Amino acid sequence: MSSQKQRSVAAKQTTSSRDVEWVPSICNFCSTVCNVRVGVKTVNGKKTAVKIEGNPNSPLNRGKTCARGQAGLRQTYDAARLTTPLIRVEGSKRGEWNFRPASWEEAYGFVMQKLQEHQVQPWEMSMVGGWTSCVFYMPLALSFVFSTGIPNIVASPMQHCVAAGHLGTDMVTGNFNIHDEVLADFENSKYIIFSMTNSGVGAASTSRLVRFAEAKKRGAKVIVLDPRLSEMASKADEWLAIKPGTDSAFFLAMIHVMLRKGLYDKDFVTKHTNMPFLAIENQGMVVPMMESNEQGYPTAFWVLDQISGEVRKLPGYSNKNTVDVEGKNLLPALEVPQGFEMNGQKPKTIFQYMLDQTAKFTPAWAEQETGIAAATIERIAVEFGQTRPAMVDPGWHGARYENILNTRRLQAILQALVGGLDVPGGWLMSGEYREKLMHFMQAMQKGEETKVLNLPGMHFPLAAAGKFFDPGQWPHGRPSFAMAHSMAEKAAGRPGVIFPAFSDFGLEEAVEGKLMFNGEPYRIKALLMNAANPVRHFYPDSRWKKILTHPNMGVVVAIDIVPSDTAAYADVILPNQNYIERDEPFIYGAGPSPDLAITTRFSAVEPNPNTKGTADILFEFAMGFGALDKYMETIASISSYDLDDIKEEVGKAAKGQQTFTKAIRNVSFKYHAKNLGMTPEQLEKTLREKGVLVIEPVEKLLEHAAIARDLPVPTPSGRIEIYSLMLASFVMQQGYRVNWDPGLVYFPPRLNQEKRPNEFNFIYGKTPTVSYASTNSNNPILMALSKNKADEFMGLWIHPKKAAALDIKTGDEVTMENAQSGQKVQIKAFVTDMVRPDTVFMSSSFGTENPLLENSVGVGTALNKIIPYEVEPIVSAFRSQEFTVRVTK
Amino acid sequence: MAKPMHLERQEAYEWPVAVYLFLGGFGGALITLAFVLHFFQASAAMTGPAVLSGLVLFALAGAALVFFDLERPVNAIYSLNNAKTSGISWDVILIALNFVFGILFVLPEYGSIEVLHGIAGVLAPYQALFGAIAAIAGLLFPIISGGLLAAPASIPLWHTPALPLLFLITSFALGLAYLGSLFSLSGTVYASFTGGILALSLLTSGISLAYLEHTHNGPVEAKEGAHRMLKTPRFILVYFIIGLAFPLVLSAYLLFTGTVLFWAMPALAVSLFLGGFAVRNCVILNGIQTYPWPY
Amino acid sequence: MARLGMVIDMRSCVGCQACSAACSLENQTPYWSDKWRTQVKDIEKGAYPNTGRHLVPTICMHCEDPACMTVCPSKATFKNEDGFVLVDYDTCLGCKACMAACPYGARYVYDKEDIAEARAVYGDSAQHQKVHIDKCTFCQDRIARGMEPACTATCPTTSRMVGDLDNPDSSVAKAVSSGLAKPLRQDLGTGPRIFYIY
Repeated sequence: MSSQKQRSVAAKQTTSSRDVEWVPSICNFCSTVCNVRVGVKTVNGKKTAVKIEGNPNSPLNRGKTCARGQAGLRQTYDAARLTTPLIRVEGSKRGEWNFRPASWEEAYGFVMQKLQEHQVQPWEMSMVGGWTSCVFYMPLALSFVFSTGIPNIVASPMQHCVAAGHLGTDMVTGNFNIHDEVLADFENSKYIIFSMTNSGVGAASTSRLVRFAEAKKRGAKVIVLDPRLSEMASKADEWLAIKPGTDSAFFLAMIHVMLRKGLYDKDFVTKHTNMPFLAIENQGMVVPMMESNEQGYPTAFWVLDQISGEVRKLPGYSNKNTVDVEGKNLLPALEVPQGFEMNGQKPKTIFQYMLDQTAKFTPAWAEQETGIAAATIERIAVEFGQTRPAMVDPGWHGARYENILNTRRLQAILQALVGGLDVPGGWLMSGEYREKLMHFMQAMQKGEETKVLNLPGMHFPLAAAGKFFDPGQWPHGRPSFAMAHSMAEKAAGRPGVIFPAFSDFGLEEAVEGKLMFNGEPYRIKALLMNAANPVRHFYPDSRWKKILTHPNMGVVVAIDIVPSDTAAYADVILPNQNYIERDEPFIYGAGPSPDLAITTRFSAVEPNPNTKGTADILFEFAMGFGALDKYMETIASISSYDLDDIKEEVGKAAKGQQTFTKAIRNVSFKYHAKNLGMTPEQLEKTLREKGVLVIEPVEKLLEHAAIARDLPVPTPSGRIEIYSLMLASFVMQQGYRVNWDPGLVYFPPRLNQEKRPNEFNFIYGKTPTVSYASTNSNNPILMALSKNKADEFMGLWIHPKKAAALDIKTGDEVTMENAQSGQKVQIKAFVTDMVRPDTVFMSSSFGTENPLLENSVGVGTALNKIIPYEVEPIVSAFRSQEFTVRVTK
Repeated sequence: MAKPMHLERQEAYEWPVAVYLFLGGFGGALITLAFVLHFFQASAAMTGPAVLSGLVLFALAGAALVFFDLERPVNAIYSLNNAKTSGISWDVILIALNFVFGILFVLPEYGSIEVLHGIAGVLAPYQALFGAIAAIAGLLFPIISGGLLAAPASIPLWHTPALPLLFLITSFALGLAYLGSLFSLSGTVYASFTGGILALSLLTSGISLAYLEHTHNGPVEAKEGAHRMLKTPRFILVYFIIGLAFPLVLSAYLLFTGTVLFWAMPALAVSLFLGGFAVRNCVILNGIQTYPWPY
Repeated sequence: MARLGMVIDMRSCVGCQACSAACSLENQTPYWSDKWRTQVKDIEKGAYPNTGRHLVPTICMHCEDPACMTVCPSKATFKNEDGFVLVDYDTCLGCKACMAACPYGARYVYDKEDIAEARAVYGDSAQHQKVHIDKCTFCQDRIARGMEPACTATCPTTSRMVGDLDNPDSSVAKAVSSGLAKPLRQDLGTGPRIFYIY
C-alpha cells in the first residue's frame, strides 16, 4: 500500500476534537458534578461545542466522563431549546403547550401583575428547585427567600435522596453537605458491600466508578444486595437477591455477629464513638447519662475508666473519649462489670445496651426476613469484620421504604464499627466539609459565630432548615407550609413530619386552601420553579398536575433550558443558559472530592442573547420585589462574601454594565483569591488553565484533619454516634416511635406478604444513560443508547416462571396496577432471570410527556404514575416502593 | 429467560447476493456448456443462444450486484483491485472475461449477418481458443462465487469446500436443462442431456448429503444454520422436492424407460432453476455466526 | 514506532456506554440508525438465582490478518504502517464482503441516509461525505496528536487501556504476556490487537 494512500486517508479522517479549544466546565448531567473540558471550534461560522472530555486535573472524576457527560453538549443544540421568555396565551389551560413569545420586561411584568391580582403574600409563594439550585445557587436561593420573606422551598432531591437516605448516615457521622454524599475510598478497600444502590456507582457516577473500578482490578471482594441483577450487581462476587426492603435486617444480623465475635475496631469504637458512654434505662428507653445546656446540647458524659476503675466525666462536645473534663487521660471501658452502680443507679454502657438490643437479630432471624441463608449472612459478617479495610457503601438515592433512614444509619454504624471513617479504604469526607469543620472549630474556640453557609455537616441543615420551621424567624410569623401542615397533622393526632426540610408535604392542601395555621388558611398561590421538573420527578404525577392546574394557583413561573413536562404547566417560562454557555456565579468546592479543591465553569460557547443565567433572574426578581438591598445584605450575612464587594459589583450590574452573574462571580473570585494569596486575575488564569485547583490533597488532610480522630464531627456530641442523640431528641419532642428509636431496631417494609399469583413487590432503579431530575432523556445520543437496550432499560423485568404462568413474553404490553392505590400503567415486559420471582422492576428514566421533547416523548413508561403519595414521618421521604403491584397481560 | 444470544445471523448478505451468485453461476455454466457442445458434441446449433443467454445472465447478475447490493455502485470499477485475495474481485474479472471472450467466441456463429461478416471471418480461426478461455472463466465463476461465501471462517455453514462444489454442480445441471429445453423447443430431444442431468443430480444429492454431514457434525453455528434451513418449508419443498427429488426421479424415469417427453426438459429446467435459487438463498440467509464474546 | 494495542478489562466494566457516546461524538457515527463502532453488549446467562450478567465492550480488533481486508475487492480496507486496519472511503464500493467476513461484528454501512443525517446534524463539520462500510480507526487522528482513542480516554472504569504491546514494561504488554488478557476467537487466526481480561 502506498504511503500516499495512508497520508490521504489520515488527512481526511479527522475527529471532532481536532483543533478545538478546551474550556473548563462542570458537567451538569447529574449531581456527581464531574470536572470536564468542553472542546469548541467554529462550525458553520459559529463557535460550537463539539466534544467533551473529563478534566484530567480533576481529583473527582480523574479525566473521565460517562455517556451523559459525553453526550451532554447536545443539550445546547436541542431543537426544543427555550430561546425566549414565553407567556401563556390567555384562555389556554396549564398543561397545554400554548405560549406566546415575550420580552423579559413583559414576562416579569406579567408575573408581578398576577401576584398583585391574586394578592399573593410572601408566604403564599414557594420556590421549587431541582438539584442544580442546591449545588450551584444555594447562597442566592437561600438569600432570595430570606430577603423576600418566602418561607418555602421545595427541593427535588430531598425527599428522594438527600434527606431520604443520607440523613440516616449523617446522624452517625455528622456529615451533611451540599454534596453530602461521602466519596467512599473503594480503591483502597478490600471488601465492599452495596445495598439499595445502582445509581451511586454502577449506573453511573463517574467519580465513584473510577475508584470502584480500581477496587475491582485490585481484587476487592464485592457483595451486592439487590433484588435484581443491576449493573452494580453484575460486578459483584456475590449477588444476593434480597427480599425488597429488608436490607436493614441483613445489617442488624451482621452487627449481631460482629459485636458478639469481637469483630470490630475496638480502639476506634472506644475512643471516638459513644459506645462507652454510661446510660440507663428509663421507661423502656436507653438514655445516656449526660448534662446539657439550655439549648439542649450535651455538656458532659460519663464513662468508666478501664485503667483507674473510676467513673470519669467527659466533655460534651469532643472527638475523643480519652481526655476527661479536667484534661486527665483515660481509657474508657466498653463494658462495666456486673453489679456496677453509680449514684444509686445501675448504668451500663451504650455498647452493652447494643448487645442486648441486637440479641434477637440473629442470622437465623435475618434469614426469615431477607431470604438470604443465615450461614451466608454469618459468613459475610465475619469476613467483613475480619477484613481491613472493609466498607459498606454509603448508598445513593434513598426513599423507597419507611425504614430507609434506619437502613442507611445501620450502614454507617457498620462502617464505624470497623473504624472505616476518614481512613484509606473507608468513607472519606469531602475536602470542603473538612475545611468548614476546621474553620468552625477555630471559630468556636474564639467564641465567634459561623455563618450559615459555612456551617459544617449537620449544623447546616439544622440551621438552614430550622429557619423555615421557626415562625419566629419570619416577619409574617409563619413557618414553611410543610411545617405548618406537619403541625396541623400532629394537632389532628396524625404523625406529621418531624423535619420536612424543603419538602412538598402539605403543598396540595395549601393550594386547595385546606391548610390552616393559627386559625387562618395558609395558602400557596404562586410557584417559582428553577430547573425543577416535579411533574416527572415527584410522586405521583397526578398530584403535581392537580396542584399546578388548581384554580387557586395564581401564577406558575418555570426557569428551564428545554421544555420539561412541568414547563407545560407554567404561565411564564424563562429561558435559562445551560452549563456550557454560562460563566458560573461562584467558585465551588470540587463536589464530594476528598481533596480540598476549588473549581468553576467558564462560558464555552455564546449563550443565546435572549436567555439568562439563574443568578440574573433571581436578582431581577429581587429588584421587582423591591428587595435588592436586603438581598445583598442577606447574601453577605449568610456567606463569607464581603458586603461592600457585593454592593460595588451588583451596583454595576444594576446599571446594566455587567450581568448579575458576572457581578457575583467577581465577588466570589475576589474572596477566594484573597484566601489563596493570589489576585483575582491570577486565580482566573489558573482556573481557566486547569479547571480545578487542588489546595490540599487528601493524604495531607488525613494527617491532621481526619474526622473523629482529629476533629469532632457535627453530631450533638462530636463523636461518631452509634446511639443517636438526634433521634433521642425526637423521642423527647414527639414521644417514642420506632422510626426514631435512637438504638438498634428493625421495622419491616409494609408489603403484602401473601400475594395473589399476579401480585409482585415493586422496585425501580436507574439506567446509566439517563439521570434523575433533568430532562436529558431528550438527548439524541443518550436516547439512541437507551433504545439500543430498550428491553432492559424500558421494560418491566419479570421472572420467566411468573411470566410463563401469566402468559407474558418479552415485548408484550402489560398493565401494572398498584394493588393498594389502584394507579395503573402500561409497560412492555422484559422476561428475565435477572430478578427475583416475587418482584418486578422498572427503570426511573423514561416516560416523558412534553411533545416538544421529540426524542423522548412517549418512549417508555413514567415511574411516577405508579407511585402514590406516601411519606415517612421523619423527613417526608417518599415510600416509593412500599406497595405491591398486579401485572396482567 | 436466558436468551440464546450467542448465535447471530450475519447481517451483511441478503437475497440479492443469492440472485447474483445464482444467475452468474447459471450464466457461467451455459457458456462452458456451449463450448463443450460446440467442440465435443459437434453441435453448434445452440452455441449462439447459449452464449448469449449466458451473457444476459451475467449482465443480470452484475446488475443485481451493483444495483441491489453495492452501497456505492459508482465505485464498482474499484472491484478489480484485489484479485489476489478477494472472491468478488475474481468474480468481476471472470464476468469481464466472459463478456470479452464469450463475444469473441460467439461472433463467428453470426457471420451470416452482413455487418458481422468481416469480423467473424477474422475471429473464426481462433474461435476454439476464445471459447476455451470463456469456458474456463464460466466454469470458475460458480466455484469462486461459492468460494466467496466459503471464505469467512466465522460462518461455518459457509466455510466448507462442499459449497463451491454444490454451486458448481447445480449451476451445470441447470445449464444443461436450459440447453436441453432449447433443443426440445427446436424439436430435438437428446437422451444424453437427460443422462447428464441425472448424473449431476446424483452428484448434487451426494454433495448435499456431504454438506449436511458437515453441518451436522460441524460447529454449533453450522448445525444451528442447518436446523434453521431444515425448518424452512421453502427449503424442503423448493430445494429438496422440486429442485432435487423431482429432477432425479424424472430424469431416471426418462432414461431407464426410454420415454421421450417433449415437456420434460423445460420442466427439469424450471425445477432446477427454482431449487438452485432456493438453496443459495437459504444458505445465505442462514449464515449463522457465533458472536466472539466469551459469554 | 510503538505497536499500540488495547486491553479491555471486563472485570470493571459496568456498561455505562461512555465509550459508545464518546466514539459517536468524536467520529460522528450514525447513532440515529443505532450504528456504533464500539458498544457494550449486555449478556444474560444462566438461571435465577445463578444468573450472570456480562457487560462486554466491543470494538474492531485491528487484526494482524484481517478477514475484512482479505475479502475487500477494492483494497479500500487496508492496514496502515502502524498495523491499524482502516478504510479508504474514496474507493469503498460498499459490497459488504467485509461485514460478512468480520468475526467480531465490527463493521456497518454508513449509508446514503446516514450521510444526509450527518450533514443535517454536523453541518459543515461533517466528517463523512461518502457512503462506505465504516469501522473503528483506533482514533488515528487522536493518536497522531498524542491522545488516547476517545473510548479509552473517557472510560470511567478504565476498562480500556491502550499501550505499546512491544514495550514489556507497558501495562497492556504485561497483561498480555502474563496471559491475563487474551484475544477473542484465537481459533480463527485473525491475530487481534485487542485483548480481553475476563
